[in-house]
Amino acid sequence: MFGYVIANSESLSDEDKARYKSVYCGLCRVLKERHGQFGRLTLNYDMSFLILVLNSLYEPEMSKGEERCVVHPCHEHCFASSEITDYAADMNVALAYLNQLDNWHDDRNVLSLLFTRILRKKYFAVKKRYPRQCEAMERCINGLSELEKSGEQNPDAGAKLFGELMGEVFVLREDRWAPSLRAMAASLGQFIYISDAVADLPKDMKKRRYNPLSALKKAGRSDLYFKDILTMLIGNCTMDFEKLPLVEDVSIMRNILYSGVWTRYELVQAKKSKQKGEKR
Amino acid sequence: MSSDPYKVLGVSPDASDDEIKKAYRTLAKKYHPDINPGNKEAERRMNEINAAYDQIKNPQQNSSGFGGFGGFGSGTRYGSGYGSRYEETDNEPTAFRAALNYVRAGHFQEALNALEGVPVSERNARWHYLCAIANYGLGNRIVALEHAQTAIRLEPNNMEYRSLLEEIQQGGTFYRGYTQGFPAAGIGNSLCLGLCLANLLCRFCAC
Repeated sequence: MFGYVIANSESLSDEDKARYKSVYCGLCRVLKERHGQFGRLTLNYDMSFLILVLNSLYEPEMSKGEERCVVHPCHEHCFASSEITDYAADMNVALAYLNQLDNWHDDRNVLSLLFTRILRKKYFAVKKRYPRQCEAMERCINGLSELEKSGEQNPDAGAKLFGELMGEVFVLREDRWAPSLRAMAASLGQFIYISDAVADLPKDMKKRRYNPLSALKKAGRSDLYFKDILTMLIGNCTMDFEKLPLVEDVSIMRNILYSGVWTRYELVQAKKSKQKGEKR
Repeated sequence: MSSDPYKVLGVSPDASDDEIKKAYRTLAKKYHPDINPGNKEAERRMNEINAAYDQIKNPQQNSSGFGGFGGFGSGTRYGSGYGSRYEETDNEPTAFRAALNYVRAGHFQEALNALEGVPVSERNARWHYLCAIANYGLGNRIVALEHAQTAIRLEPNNMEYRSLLEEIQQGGTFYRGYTQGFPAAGIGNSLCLGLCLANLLCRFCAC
């Protein structure tokens, strides 16, 4: 369930685009530093949002610089990182490990097994540092796989579990902002879970695979209805987001929440209408 | 807290959201306990600033829990008000009355259990309405939306049902109002592509 929390780069200002990229590059760099080349494999844009939010909230010291790296060998590019980036890198590796472990248990994917072997030690080091977050991840990922096995028809069940996971990841400290952060991230997690279900729905129905929305689809709910659900969920997220005193990088974060989060959705819809057009 | 929260933050009452956040941050930096260790006056000011911010941004948070799932706990507007109005009609199934009592006490799962026992033939608009409330209380937003909409489909003119639906959809309404300034997510979002390429290269390099 990655690739949903990204910016709509077309409508970012040049300055914001550069900043967003530098945060992403900072994460890539820290992943390598803390967890090696294999840690870097887990890189994704979604974690940049976590970094932006917590950086803006706590304003830690940032280290900035320019360098060439293996991913972009031709150009020098900027990176920016902080203790928040370290935290996000740890969360990223933990999530990747548990995700691969789940893949191995469910599908017996050998590549996943290999990956878990490589990340195992790193995961337990992270778990020692952040037991609350890692225990929540384990609990929720196991819970999600149980739901899938039992064929749970209630879409809220899975959405709430994934929301709970995100909530714990976004709460770095139990301080006065924790309730808003937790609520915001929980709604974001629900949005991601349902977005993923909407995207996979046609394929899952065809292959008779589990999808949390299949009961609603069979009851005749339209795509428009699913979009209403998604709007409700991301709307709850932004209501809590706007409660937080975030000033720095707020234009990037708003770009993500009010526009970028729909990128995958629009992509799937465009593909669908193209297919429909061809059929006619 | 009798003092005017806008005055405490030094902004005018018609200040924008971002102006309030900026003012809060500036003051919080100045009076933060880490910068003023042991300074009682700074501590007092910091508490005042925090309280002012909460008063403006989280008016309902002071009463109970957090906004996202709230609305039906005790002390909020769906808590006691609805019960008394509801009791005026007598010939309602006992399961409905039990569910409402559970809802008022904040026992949403028990309310649902009571409602489950109602035979399918007796599941009218009010049953869907009560199911919506109980599910919303449990944070089951999607199922709550389903039930609220069904209740209104069965009884389109019921204001009680409509205001419940409004409450469930308030996030979406807020969002639609806010999104107007933002362009729709483009199909040609270059980030996506950049990401795939970067990932590919990453994988390639590591092997």
